[in-house]
Amino acid sequence: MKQRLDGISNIQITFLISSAITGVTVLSLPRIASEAAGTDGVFVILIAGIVSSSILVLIALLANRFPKDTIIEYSSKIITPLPGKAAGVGLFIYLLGVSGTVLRNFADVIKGFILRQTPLEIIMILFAFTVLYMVLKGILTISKMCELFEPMVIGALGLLIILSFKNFNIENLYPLFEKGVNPYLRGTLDLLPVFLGYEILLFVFPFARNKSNVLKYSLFGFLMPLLMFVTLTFVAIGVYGADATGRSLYPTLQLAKYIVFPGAFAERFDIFFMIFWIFASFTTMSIYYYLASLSITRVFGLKNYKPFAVLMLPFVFMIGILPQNILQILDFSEYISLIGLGVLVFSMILLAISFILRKKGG
Amino acid sequence: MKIIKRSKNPKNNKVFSQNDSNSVPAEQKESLAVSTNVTENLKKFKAFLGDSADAVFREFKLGMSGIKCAIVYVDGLTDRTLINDHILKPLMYQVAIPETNTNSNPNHHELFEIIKSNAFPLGDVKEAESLDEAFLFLMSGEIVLIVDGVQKFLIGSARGWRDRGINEPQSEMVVRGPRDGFTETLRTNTALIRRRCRDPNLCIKTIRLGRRGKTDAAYIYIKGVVAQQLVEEVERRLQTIDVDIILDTGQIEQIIQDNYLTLFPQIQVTERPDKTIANLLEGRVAIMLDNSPFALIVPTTFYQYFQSPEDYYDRWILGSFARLLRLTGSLLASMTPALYIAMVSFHPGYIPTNLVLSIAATRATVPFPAFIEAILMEITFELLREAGARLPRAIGQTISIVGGLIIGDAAVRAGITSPIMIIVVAITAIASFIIPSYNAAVAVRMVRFPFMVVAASFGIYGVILFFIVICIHLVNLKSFGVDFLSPQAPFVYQDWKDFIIRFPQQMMKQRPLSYYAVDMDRRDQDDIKGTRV
Repeated sequence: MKQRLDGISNIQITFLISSAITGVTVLSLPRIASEAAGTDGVFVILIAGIVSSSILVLIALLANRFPKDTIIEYSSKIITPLPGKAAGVGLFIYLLGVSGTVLRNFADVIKGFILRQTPLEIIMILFAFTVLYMVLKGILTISKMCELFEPMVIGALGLLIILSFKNFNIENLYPLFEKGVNPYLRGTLDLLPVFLGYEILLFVFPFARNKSNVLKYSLFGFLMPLLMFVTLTFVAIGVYGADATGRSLYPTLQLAKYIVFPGAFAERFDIFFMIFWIFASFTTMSIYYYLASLSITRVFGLKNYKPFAVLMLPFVFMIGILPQNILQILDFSEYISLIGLGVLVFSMILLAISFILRKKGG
Repeated sequence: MKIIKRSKNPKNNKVFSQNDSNSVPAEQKESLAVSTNVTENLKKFKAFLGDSADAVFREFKLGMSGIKCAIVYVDGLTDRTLINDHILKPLMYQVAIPETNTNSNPNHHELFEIIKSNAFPLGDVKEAESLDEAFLFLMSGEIVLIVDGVQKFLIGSARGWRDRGINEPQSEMVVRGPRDGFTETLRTNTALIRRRCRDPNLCIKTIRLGRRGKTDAAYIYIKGVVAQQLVEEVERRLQTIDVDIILDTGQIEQIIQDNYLTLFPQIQVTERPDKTIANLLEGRVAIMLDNSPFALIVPTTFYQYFQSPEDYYDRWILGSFARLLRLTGSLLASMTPALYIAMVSFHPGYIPTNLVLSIAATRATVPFPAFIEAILMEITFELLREAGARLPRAIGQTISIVGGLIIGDAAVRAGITSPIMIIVVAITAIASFIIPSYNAAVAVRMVRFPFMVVAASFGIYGVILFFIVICIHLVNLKSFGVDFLSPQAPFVYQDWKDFIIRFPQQMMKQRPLSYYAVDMDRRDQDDIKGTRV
């Protein structure tokens, strides 16, 4: 009998990374891209993706140096325990913040497009409890769920992109390179947070079954959303033009609404797309919520994350309920993204220090 | 594999004789030690079976020697002709006792051996040293021969009783493929399996279940294909069974399954020998029970419930199409009424304008909200189905007429329900019967009620969230250490050859990976030719 080991398989790593990246932001992604760089958004997002993938490689390198630890443990090993613990708390706050923003962004879309009369709080509570149920089942179940849902999500995105080509107008893509190199530099920086999600590798690496293949498979996992994001931006700008895309709150949903299935049972495609987008948001939030509870457990040096997962629920809910309107939500998301970039920088610093001091674990 | 820590229960080994030791007054208690005297021994048997009309005690003399013997058997469980012609006859007339010993006091033990080897023309002959052992054999339909002066019994198998005969399996009919199904006799069933696979590695092990029932159960597997851990796990779980009687494999299923707090069955049930042997060759274990025509197959994955033997007998395109239909059917059966409720009461904007107008027109006269309407109709359908399932065939037709005409047409005319609701219920019903496995179909049908409740409370959002919860539950389930949603989650791409699309036979040369089979290549014949594994 081939002994099947416990742990996250290679394919699960791929889908886990992919699920963490494709989340709520899929809906607003073309807006962010065209806001940042207008018609050049397609190229800028591609560049941001390539930059992100190189950061992903560095993160994998760092994780590979401490194959048995999460970042919470090896940050203590690299920069002495006390700053390490402080960094761990910072990471926890970041993960908690992401969970909260995902929850709020999600609930906002649901309220705006599906359940107009239901109070926001009810939508959030239902979703948060579903996520909690999932998180309590552990990382292996989460990765299996990603395996189950992520192919559907990617498939739905692909279908959306293909069907949207009907309304595609090539003239909308011009002019290119209008403003020179500057928007590219600035835009790349603006679009880096879009790809956030691969930083989960800092936490899930020790759970991987086959550690030597993690880099390869997580790059695969990064490639899928990268491809989807680039084509999605391309199509959105091609259909609506950079200006209209930049002004629309959820251009992806606009795309879906524009699609008409002749003679279909449902009049609009967006309800189908919405189903898979809920799946995507669900997996994203589950991953971050789980990692948040895991990181705080590890900071305290404990084993069982479940009590923390339950205790965190009101806090996540509070973070979600904090912003008063859509502008505040956008601002808040931006802050969280900045912290996310900070996490990336922090991990780079860790990598550099561990490289210089030749620290290695496990 | 997750192991429930329960050791083999010593109480299972409780013997027959202890059962009513308290109810019999002390003075009537028989000593249970086997004596050398035939009459004494017979008395001990009669102490238990004297009140039973079907027990037969026959005393006779062995050949010309005048040595007293007796046989005991249970009438109805044994073949009477066989006993008369092949047991009593040789013993009474033809037994050849060595000349030297006839005059002197014969050596009884020698005699016993002579009877066993020369005068007991049966294939299956055993000895029993204690009364308990003898009773167990007796109750299984074997005969007990008591010889004077010997402190043990000779047991001969003369089993023979009426059984139903091999019929077409009622719950799993196929258009193409073998038509024989299991019966209630374990030996017939194992023969049906054995006949399909002439591999000496096919193992049929038996275990007795139930303290009073002591029913024979068999677990069947193919050595060298199945993972040894799986066999041990099956054995261990079967040994944890501690009840007085097991009447059907359904009871075994409920005791040995991984999770009993779930709607979904984790063990496959089949009446078909061809399906059983195909599963054994994929590295699974089958569990059968005497008196039950249903075999259990472990481990089982969720998607197996949507497969039928016909998928393999028909051309692969047909098989794949049927599987796609069944999966769609299961989604429809569980969610159509919920989606209808959600769409009509929460999101009419998503329905095409013409359709929404016609729905509104038909619903104008209906006094109930969509949820109540749907619940009413679905419960009516369940009532009809349950009523039809238990009735004789002749009355069953009446029920279908009553159901179809009265409930369908009249309810619409009376304005209780809308015609679209009738269509929704009909779709649900047909779609749920498309699933080949009965127990999975029941689970899918049951799920639609909570779906309807969440749809009525939170619209399509509730439906999706509940779907996610069910997915989490399914992903988390295991059947004997195998993930329930395999090969989808965890993703085992090798097994997708026999998943939604049934690949052509030429391409399925490997056994599925998900069940931990040892010998991966289906064409590997080493085990038969060479040494045993």
